[in-house]
Amino acid sequence: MDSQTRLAKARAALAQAERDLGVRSGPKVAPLTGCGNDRAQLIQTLIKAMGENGYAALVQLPDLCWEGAQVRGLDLDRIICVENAQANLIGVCETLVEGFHVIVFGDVKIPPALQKQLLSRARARGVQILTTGHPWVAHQREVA
Amino acid sequence: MQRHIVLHIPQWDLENYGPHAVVLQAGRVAQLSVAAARAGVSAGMRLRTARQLCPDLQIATADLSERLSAFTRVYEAAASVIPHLTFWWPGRLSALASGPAKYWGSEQNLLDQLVETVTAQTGLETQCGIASGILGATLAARRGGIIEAAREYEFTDAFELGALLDLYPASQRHQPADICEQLQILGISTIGQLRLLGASAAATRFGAEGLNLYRLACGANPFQQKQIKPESEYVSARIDCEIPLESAGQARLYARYLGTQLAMQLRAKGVAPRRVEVMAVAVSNMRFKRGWNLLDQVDEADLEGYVQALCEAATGELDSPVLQLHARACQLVPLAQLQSALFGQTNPQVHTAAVKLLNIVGEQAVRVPCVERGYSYRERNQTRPWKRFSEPAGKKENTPLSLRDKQFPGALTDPFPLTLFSAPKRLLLFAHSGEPVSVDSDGCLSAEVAVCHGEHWQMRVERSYGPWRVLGKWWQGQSPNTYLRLESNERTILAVYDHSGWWLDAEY
Repeated sequence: MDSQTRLAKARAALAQAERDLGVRSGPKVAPLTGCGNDRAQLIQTLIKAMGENGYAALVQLPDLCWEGAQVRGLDLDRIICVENAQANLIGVCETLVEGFHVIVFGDVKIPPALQKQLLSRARARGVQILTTGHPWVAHQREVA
Repeated sequence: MQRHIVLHIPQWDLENYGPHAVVLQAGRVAQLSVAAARAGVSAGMRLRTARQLCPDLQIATADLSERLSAFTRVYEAAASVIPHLTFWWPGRLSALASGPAKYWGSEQNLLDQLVETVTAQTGLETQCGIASGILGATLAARRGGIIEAAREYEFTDAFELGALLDLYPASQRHQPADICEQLQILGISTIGQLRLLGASAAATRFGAEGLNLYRLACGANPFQQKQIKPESEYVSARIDCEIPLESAGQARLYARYLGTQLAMQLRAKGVAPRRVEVMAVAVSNMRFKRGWNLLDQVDEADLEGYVQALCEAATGELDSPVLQLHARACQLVPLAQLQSALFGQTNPQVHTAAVKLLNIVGEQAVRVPCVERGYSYRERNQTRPWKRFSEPAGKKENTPLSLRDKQFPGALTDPFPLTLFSAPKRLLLFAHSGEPVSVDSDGCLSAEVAVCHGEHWQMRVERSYGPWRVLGKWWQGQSPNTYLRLESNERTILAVYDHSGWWLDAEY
């Protein structure tokens, strides 16, 4: 039995256990996506994550050319940029997770404890988090 | 013909405070007492300014659960006289009056009975009015009277447009207030004049909110949703308390959980409730249930507030600690129905979050991107502060590119870069011969670019496009710049030459 078959069997068993216990599994897509410094990839991921009706908050993401992003399909009417977030990081992050569908963190340092908290709330609320600058300590694996 | 009765307690939120009291919203005065107004405080004023004018100013709570709990005694007193009350906000109730009027003998008897019961049970002075339309009943409540159906328009038409704002919650008055101001500028200053304007004229000129104002002026209740789904459609949440709750304070976490659960389910279904019901079950299996009819949209904090309010009431009513809490949101209406039809509005959840952000980071730090008119990418790449009372994000500013190009011949166009450096970095461009490349007064390069040196990097140029000479706003003293797009296998950059040399302007 190869590894893929074993993995499929394990997933089926887990899914059955979830159904039996009434446990709801998290979203299929991991809420954290690292886009590095590739702006094209960031814009593509952002457009995909926003979908047709989603709103996105860009936290300290400087140097983005709105015209270029708009031409590539980003709806600027559903974007809000947040500056000076570092001083009140916890309050800003909590508010963003409550209100927006996608959050992009740019040049902002988020402590590991807050990262975990944010990811947990984002997963519960179906919010997507995209990161560009500082890599996050918390690692989310994609659930098949 | 339907008749409406409205019960109103003026300045309910300030009832339990001193003479100088205000209710705050987003750091600004939303409601104020008469004494505070006499001291110079006004709606929309910052708290700091209000405190300077009135040092003994008291701030009334804005917490929904506390306000609901306090209003419960009024609600129950009124409910003992009239069934099926519609809850507008703490301080305002309405109901259909025809049935209760038959029960109590006449409309006058109903009015007297309601005022007497509420005053006897709560000790509060109330204002009640009966009329055919909701506006007429609200205005009649100010005078404590009954308006006959035949005289209703005669009565309401004389009021100024500002009277319509009394039918909106304090937090939602800004948009109708703007429209009322515009109407007054156009010479329409009374409700009667607005009624004569006609529905189509109001809708085409002032959008959905204008139509709402027109309907209110005609006596209709535009906030009452007609397409209510059957009662069987609802969303519910339930929680078993690990430790039975003996006080309302212990219920906070459970209230939050139920509020969040309900809100998530409602959001997933894309609906909003017109009624919320909460039930507490005690260890002895005794049940305590309460429901609220809603006109406003509710969010998680509001739903949490309703659960919390029930818990506070239940701890006094039940004979043993609370073991289970059930919450149900019913009479569901599609969210789309609650949104403005003509122009659309920011998602309310996003709007609330943005207002909170304004309070946290300041007004200049929450911005929306917009593409302005201009010659260079940099000129066109702008952001402006997000405004809580405006349309979401610059529909007008994000003009179509083709239109913009027509207006600015010679502007930089496709392909557009994705990174526009806020602080351009110095570049050095060299020809194959090793000579630095420069630009002459006609905008021509001295030689073909072969190598490009940045601060800590260099690239061998495979292809170069340009140069493009952009004159810019010469009438404002801007000097012409020369742009050059340089490509290597790894990256594509936009270099700009001004009087001081080459700069890295953007990256593709």
